Amino acid sequence: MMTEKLNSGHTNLTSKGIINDLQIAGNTSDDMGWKSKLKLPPKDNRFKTTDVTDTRGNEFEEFCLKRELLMGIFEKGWERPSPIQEAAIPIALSGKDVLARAKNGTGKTGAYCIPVLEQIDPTKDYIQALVMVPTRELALQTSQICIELAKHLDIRVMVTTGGTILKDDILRIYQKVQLIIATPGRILDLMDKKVADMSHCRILVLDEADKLLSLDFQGMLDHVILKLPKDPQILLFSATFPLTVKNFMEKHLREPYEINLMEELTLKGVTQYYAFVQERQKVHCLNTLFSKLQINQSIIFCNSTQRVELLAKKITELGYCCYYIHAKMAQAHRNRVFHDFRQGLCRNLVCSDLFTRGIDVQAVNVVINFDFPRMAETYLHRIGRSGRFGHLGIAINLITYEDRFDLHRIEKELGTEIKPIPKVIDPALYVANVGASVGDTCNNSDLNNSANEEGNVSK
Amino acid sequence: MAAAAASAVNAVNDCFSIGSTVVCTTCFNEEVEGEVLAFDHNTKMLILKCRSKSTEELSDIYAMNLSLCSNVQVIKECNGNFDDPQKLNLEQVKMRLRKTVERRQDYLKSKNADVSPEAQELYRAIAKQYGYNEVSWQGLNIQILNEVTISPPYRVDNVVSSSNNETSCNYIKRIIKQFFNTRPSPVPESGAAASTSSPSVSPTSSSLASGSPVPAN
Repeated sequence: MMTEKLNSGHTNLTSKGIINDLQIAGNTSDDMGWKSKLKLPPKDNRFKTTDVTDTRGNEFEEFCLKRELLMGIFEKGWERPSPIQEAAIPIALSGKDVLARAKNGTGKTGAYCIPVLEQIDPTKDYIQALVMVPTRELALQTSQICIELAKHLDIRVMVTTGGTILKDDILRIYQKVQLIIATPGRILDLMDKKVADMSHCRILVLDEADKLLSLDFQGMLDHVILKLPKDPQILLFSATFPLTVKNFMEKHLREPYEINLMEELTLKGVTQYYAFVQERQKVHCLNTLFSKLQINQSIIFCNSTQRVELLAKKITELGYCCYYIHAKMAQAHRNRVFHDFRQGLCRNLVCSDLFTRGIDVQAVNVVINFDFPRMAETYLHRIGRSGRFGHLGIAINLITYEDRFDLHRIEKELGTEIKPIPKVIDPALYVANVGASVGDTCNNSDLNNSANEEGNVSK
Repeated sequence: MAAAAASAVNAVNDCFSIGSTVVCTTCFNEEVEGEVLAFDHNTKMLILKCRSKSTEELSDIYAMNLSLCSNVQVIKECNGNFDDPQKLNLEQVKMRLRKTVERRQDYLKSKNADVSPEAQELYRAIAKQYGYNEVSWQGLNIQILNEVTISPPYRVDNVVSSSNNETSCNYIKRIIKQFFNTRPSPVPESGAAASTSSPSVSPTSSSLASGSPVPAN
């Protein structure tokens, strides 16, 4: 709250300074009057997170935008740029390719619509920019934003998607639209029929590029780019960067300017091990881990809600304290359990994949994949930590024969190393203040327990 | 957190009990009155919660350095009936500290003793848009995105591009034009003369005095 208050004060001073400077510059009163004539919507006083307030302090006016575009921006209720807009707009207006990573709801659409509308010449009657999105709903929503922003500009915006009458789209294109927002299939159809002339389209926007480049649209984007002039400016927005996006980037973008406003989950500082076990040995192996490791707090992941409950029951029978949560529980109950776990009321938490931003409990120094995940993104969410510098800890993956290919693929996709679990794990890898826990060192015992070995039961 | 905890432990014995009402006169002769949240005897730092001047429901938090206060009075003593202090999100505190340090370092990078204060302000205006990592001083020249250079006297005519990207050049020219159009400056001729002469004679104190302060939040 203090941060919000301080930011607000700073912004007021900045705005006042700008207005005074403009007046001193000798602009006529008519020039200055355009701001007072704006039809502004009611002020949005809802609380805003740092996803949209953590900026360097730029104002929309500082981007040297046309007055008519500024009018559209302010009348849409946008008062000042969000972080993704602040980062992307000057770079896009400089003609550079952009590779941007940002969450939905942080102003991403404005980050590409504003520079696109600014660079369109309303006096030219040909297609100058193309925005590609993966779904019809997003296309309609994006076109609506563009139309509102372009309200005072003489720019014609068209949306074209599957599921509408093709003839209607053909008729609309002949009205000399300058900006098209489209899903891949329909625009390719119009291009192949030579209805959409892309020879002057010098700006291409790919929103949600990870979906646009998925199997659903395989090869379509390459096809689109073949129809554009040489070296178009490409603005690529994506929340994730799978291999398909990387390959496309290397092939089509020229030295893109990279913007990453998602707090990256990192595997830095996390030492990752795997242990080959048979399914029926997993509980026994977990018991051995509990008795050998110096766990401050641990989270154990399973792949289904049923397995979460079964495992939690087993752990309790073994005599260990354990909470569990999964997706089928009521949200309020899950929040309460997680809150208590975070407070340290219990040492172990068994859960399925509930978190979307990684675990932010600093006390957790051991993560165990009782069931190995199939997707690299799931693995990253389970084990990765927020922040640039990572976090000290270990992750142990119980791997069955069927998991071995997933292990190798995930290792490769994430560019990380998952090593065989050693007999003794150095406490310095995951225990804070190692020197202070002299009497609690690991026993020298084989963690890859054989089927016949009986593990000690102890809290 | 440690300081707050220590203060809580010694609440009764310390100079200022948590929850007491204190009024301080600062070295600017301003009076600050508020409720004690924490006090550290070694550094003589006192944390006060004061009624906000702008919003009724909110409070301002002041960190007072008592070494620089001319008058400190306890208006109302508290007997220990106070609310527990709010839990601090230490991760967020660390993040804010890191960002504040980064902003200070960015500001330092915009300093150049060999050019006029006006040129340094132009540097900051450009760096504010492109990000401080993309702008640097190369001697007297401003380098942007490793492909555009602005040489003295930093006007529209002094922008050159080392790449094929004319759009970048044009956009930077617009920034420069808007920068000079929106600031109070003398006539262009004497302005140019001033910037020509100031590289050699500009004193350090003048540069420091004219630099805009970085917000400390």
